[in-house]
Amino acid sequence: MSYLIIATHGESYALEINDIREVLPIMWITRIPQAPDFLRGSIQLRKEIIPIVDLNKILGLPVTQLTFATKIVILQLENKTPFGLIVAKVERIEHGEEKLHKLLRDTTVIKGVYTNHNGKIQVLDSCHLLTQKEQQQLLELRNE
Amino acid sequence: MEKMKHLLLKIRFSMKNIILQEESDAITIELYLQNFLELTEKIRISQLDEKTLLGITQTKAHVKEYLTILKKYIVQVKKSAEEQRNIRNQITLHKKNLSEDGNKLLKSLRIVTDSNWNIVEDYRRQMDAVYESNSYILIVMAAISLLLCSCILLFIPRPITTTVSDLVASSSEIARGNLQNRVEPKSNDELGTLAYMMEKMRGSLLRLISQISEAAINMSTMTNQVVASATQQSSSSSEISAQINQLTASVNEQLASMSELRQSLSGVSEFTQNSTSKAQQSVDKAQIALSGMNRISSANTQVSERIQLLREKIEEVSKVLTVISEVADQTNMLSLNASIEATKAGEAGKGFTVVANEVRRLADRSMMAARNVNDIVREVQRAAESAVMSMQKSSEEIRVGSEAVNTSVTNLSEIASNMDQISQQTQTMFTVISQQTDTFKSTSDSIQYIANATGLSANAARQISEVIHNLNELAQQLRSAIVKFSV
Repeated sequence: MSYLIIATHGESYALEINDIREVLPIMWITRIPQAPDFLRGSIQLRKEIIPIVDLNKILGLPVTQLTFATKIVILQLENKTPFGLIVAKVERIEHGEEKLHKLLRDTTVIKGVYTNHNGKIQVLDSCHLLTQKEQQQLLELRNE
Repeated sequence: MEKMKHLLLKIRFSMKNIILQEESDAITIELYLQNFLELTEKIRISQLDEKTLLGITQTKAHVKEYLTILKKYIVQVKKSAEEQRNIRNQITLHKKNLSEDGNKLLKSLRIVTDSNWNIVEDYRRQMDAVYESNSYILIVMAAISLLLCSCILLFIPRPITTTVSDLVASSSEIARGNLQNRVEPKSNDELGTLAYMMEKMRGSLLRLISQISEAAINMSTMTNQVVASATQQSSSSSEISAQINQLTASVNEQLASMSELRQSLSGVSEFTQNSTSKAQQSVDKAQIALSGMNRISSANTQVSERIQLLREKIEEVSKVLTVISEVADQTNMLSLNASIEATKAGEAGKGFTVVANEVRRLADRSMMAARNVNDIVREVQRAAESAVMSMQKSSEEIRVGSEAVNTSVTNLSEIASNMDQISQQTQTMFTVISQQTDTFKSTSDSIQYIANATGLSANAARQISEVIHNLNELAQQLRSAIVKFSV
């Protein structure tokens, strides 16, 4: 199983490669008026409007400061609206174990933990990064 | 018409005469004018042309006016002639009266002169009579005076002999030296006068002798005084000579010190000349230093410009580096996406994953290299900035240094000019001292002269005292001679 290793606030996280459409350098994020709170804005990618969400906000961390290292990771899940995730830093692609350990604390956004040569890496659950309601709102926004 | 012209000419001629105040001509003109009127009347009758007729009537009117004016004029002329005649008559009357008055006056004058002449003649006759009577009186007076004179000559008394013998006796007394007896005059004639004169002579001799003896006493006291003053003079002249010797010594000392001063002045003069030349040399050196500093300053400016250029170039390099790092970043991104795609492709994408990884490593390396270059460029920039700073500092220092050199150049020039002045003043002092030396020499000569003169005067004083001694003896002799006279 391949993972994209990202880092924020000194902590590394993993995203499953299969859920990722592409990685983009940071670009101008247009604010959407009267948008829900979780949305940071939107970008235009090849004539497609993609909503943008801050990973730090999902993880309950302070808002990500935009630098040259900041990247936008576009997630594409089956039967779901694609959205961009602002991440502070993209590190590498690595192959990890398919079997994940359970986390002591039960959260929806973390799928599990695997161990590599650096230590333990938390794998993010792409399907549960946004709640059902939020996903619904994204869909409505897209249809509008 | 011809006749009319002729008449007109005549009239003009007579008018001229009138102006020259000819009375008779006025009447002739009157006649001429009347003729002219008749002629015009005739012409008027014979002429048929209207224009001529009009002209003729006009001329006729004019002529009539003319005639009336002429008549008035003639009357006035007659009046004035009468007045003139009256005035002339009055004048002749006055003249006659005046000539009668003059004749009367002449007559009276003649009468007065005749009477005067008669009076003068009378006086002359009276004077002649007086003269004749007086000549008799004169002759009588001459005869009386002749008689009186002969009487006086006959009766003069002569008592002379006794008085003469008295006079002889008293004069022999006087000759012996006895001046105590008085000579009494006994008569009022010439002999009495002689006795009086003898008495007078005796008195004067008495006074003379007493005066001589007084003078002799005075002379001896005076000579004593003179001797004392002569001895004083000789002692004071010896004092003077001693002081003159001292003066001579001090003058010689002054001369010696003057020559020393001259020597030291010549030393000063040499020293100032050396200093002047050294100051000039220093000024030249300072000028060279100044020009060198200026060159350094311009070189500094050039270096600063070069460094500025270098900074601009570094700026460009930095921009290029930014582009390189951007490109590397994008390459990295591309390799990441390629890897993602290759992973998604599973077994088929494995080879592609390797390539993508290689690309990514390349991008990382170029990024690293760019970062290194950027660091180096920053260091270079910092070095350039510090170089600029130090350049500015050194140019400031050069500016300060050149200012200092400038001030020292001006100071040195001032010193040189001052030295020049000192040298000039030294020269003046030199000449002054030479003049003073000359003066002192002449002073010394004059002192010598004075010393000689003092010696001479001492000798003279000695001689004077000798002479006075002799004089004193003479006075003594005089006194002994006077003793013979009994006073």
